[in-house]
Amino acid sequence: MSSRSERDDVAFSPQVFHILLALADGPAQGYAVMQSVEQETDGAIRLGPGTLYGAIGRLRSDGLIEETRAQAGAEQGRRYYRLTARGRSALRREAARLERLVAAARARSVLPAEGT
Amino acid sequence: VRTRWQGAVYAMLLRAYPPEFRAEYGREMATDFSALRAAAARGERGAGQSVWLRVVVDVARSAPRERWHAWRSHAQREREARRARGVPDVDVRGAVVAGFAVFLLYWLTLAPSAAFWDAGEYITVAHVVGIPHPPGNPLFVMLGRSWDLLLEGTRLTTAERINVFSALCSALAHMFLFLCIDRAFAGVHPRIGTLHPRVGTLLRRVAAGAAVAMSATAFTVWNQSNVNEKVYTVSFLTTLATAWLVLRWRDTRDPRLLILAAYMTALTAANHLMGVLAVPAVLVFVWSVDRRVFRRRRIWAAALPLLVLAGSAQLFLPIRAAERPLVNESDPVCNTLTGAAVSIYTAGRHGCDALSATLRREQYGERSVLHDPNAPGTLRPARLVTSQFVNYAQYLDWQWARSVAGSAPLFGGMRPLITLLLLALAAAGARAHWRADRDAALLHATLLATFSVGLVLYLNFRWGYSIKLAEFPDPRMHEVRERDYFFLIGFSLFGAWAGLGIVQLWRRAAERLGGRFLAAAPLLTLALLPLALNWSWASRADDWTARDWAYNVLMSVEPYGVLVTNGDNDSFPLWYLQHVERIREDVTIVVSPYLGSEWYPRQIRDISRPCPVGFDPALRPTVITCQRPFRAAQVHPRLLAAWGGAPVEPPGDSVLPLNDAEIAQLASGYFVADRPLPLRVGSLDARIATGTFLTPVDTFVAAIVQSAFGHRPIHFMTPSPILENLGLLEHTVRVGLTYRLNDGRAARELVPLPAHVQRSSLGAFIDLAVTDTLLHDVFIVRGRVADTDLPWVDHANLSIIMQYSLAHYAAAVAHDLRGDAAAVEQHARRLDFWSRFTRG
Repeated sequence: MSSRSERDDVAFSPQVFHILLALADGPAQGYAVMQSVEQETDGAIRLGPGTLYGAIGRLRSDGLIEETRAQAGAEQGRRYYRLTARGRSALRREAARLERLVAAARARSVLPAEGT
Repeated sequence: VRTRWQGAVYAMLLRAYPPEFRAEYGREMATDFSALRAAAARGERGAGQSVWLRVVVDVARSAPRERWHAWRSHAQREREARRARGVPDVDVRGAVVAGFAVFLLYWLTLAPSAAFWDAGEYITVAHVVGIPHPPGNPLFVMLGRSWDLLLEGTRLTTAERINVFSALCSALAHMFLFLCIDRAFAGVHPRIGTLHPRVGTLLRRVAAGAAVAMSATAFTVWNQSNVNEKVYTVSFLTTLATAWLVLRWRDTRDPRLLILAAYMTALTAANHLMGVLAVPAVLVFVWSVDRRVFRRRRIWAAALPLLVLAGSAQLFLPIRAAERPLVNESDPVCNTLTGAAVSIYTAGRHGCDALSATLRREQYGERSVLHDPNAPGTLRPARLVTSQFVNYAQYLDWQWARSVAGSAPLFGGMRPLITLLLLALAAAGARAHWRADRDAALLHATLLATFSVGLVLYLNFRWGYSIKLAEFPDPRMHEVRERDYFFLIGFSLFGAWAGLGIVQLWRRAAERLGGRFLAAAPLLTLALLPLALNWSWASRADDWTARDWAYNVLMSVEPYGVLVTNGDNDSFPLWYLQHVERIREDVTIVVSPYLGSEWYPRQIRDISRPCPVGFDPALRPTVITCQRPFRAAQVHPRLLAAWGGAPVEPPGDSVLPLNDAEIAQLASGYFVADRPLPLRVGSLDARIATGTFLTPVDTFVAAIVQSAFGHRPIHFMTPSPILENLGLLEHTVRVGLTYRLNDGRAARELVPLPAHVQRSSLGAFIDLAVTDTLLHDVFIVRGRVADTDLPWVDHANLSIIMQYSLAHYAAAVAHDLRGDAAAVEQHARRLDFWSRFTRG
């Protein structure tokens, strides 16, 4: 089975993209990621624990995120995850890809021009 | 309390995930679930009432995915561990391709409908969830019905679906055979010095492929896999699957594989005991690999509950019998679960009488391996044992070149030479197998010995169907048909060794050619020999003979008629037509040999009793309720006209209006008529001759005649010994393929047949108008039987085909009496067509 690193050019699923995005600001535990994704998507993506930790497991084994020690003031007994350098880079590439897509859509008037 | 309860339920839901996933994230998930509930309790946006819905949907979507990922990584780890230990991988893809190829062959040659013998019975019971003849085969019925339902949305008919089931079981068996052979040759490295390692792998694959090809195209294996005539293809599958499991256990030493093999062997007993015959070979194999296993209590502790569970499949019999399905042979009822369990787990020695009798196959009587089946009480003579092995050799001789001198059943023409060649190849294959993997070869050899020599000794046949006919002309001293199907599994294993022998030949030739495998490859075409030489005999494609014959018989019976049949072969296709295709359900079929029991007359009584007002038996299509209606739309308009129209109302009484006590009394009555016994009812005045030995079969038929004569047409399958016993031959009217008792109801003219023609073969009269309509307008004859170039495979069925000849002959005689030369010529041509099978 090819790993994520071997298929960096493959688009992330919306769920995975938003999980990575939720970790872009810094380490977070699972429930915080769930809340962040839900708020970010205005409730369009509501992750359940099984889906979330399944995705976290695969992102960890692909080396895109890693477990980290709890930060000062963090909830005791919870496990925190953060982006690795590779994860941040992959997220950046994906965001850029999406940006290009949006720009292409604007160029064809599928979306209104920026600022209008 | 509520919080704790909800947490406990979520913890239970978490069990849906694989253990390693739970260990890693279970605690976090439970904490997040608590947080979600707390948010919902605070009324936070998005949490609301949907927390449970959200987590249940989440578990349903994500748990299977995690299980799949866990299984994949587990399999990957196992593969790596095996590689590290030097245990070779097997070619699963190759096995799937081989299984698919075998399935394709059986699909191309698949019977389109029911065949003779037990095919009609098994298709019927799979469709109506019935109980076939003892031992009842509950596993087959459950699997068959599930398969029937699974394919319900397809364009396949029920008969095709069940025939496909047989093909699938055999194809899967061959998939396991491929794996067994591939594994056995995994450690073998060709001795040719310059050989590329990949050629070694190629040799393994070719060896497995050739073994599968020779096994799958062996005549009996093929001919039994393209129709569901028996339940042995299920046994075949479990035997080969068990062999594969124990071979894999040797590699992995995972005790779960042994436990699964034990479970499968116990489960296959609920199909037929044939599959259990794999046990000696498995025990020998496990003993030779690691006998310490037998002393491991944990394995026994894990296996025993599973063995008990597997045995519980037999509970199907009393549970379904209580619902009175349309086919309910031996009626294996049991009023208590405890009684049923005792019957099942003591193999019928104790517990409920009816269920135990079915499990012990009591209706077939005791057949001791020590005694002569033709003379119970005397020891099995040595010459009979010799003849039984000759009989086996005869069937072995059929396996690879059935079409060579095909019409000679006993070692005809050049066929024995081809058989000897293949036996020599099988010996070479066995040697190669032994050299490659002694354990696997021992397993193969023990299985082969059990399914050949062991079976010959255990089955203790009478004289073979086509053996010593001159010395023992009485057909009762012979088997009623050729019995090669019993040896299906053994012939498969023989074929596999012959396939290995062909590969050995190829390898040797390549060695002599300096390692040029491609140059020697034409030798491999030997593995296609049986495909070519068996096709015309093994194929059942376009064979509608049994189905159309059943249709023609049922159309010969007038509305609401009774039809007394002679046995399995002339009854099961009729069951199929009535209960599966739902054609002429109004006819009450009476399988005369079953009348010797108490359960069958009760079923005949109930299936023909009038329905309560307003009750439609079609609402309960799979169980015995009451008389099913005649549907004129199923009958050709000319036949309806020849009958003088369709009846308006069904008869007002059962064909056998007796209570249980009266039935029990008749069922025990055997006597000799010490004076002429009159059988008078209405216009019928018959006489049972002095000295006639009357069995319950005769007595019940006499009771049916007494009660139904004049109310229902009473038909008999021809010829019927019961007619002679009851003195009814002079009262028979030939109608198509049946005789009807002359009840004087038909307004049509009956033509008396001359006294010199044999009454038992033609009848005393012929209803010429109806018979002509049947023979010319109604009867369906299509497919294989109409192809004059194809052989008639099963000689024992010729007596059924002969009935067409006799019907045309009787009609020709009647037309001749009337001076209608053109009609005589027309029937004579058809007579000639049908006689071609018997002439040879």
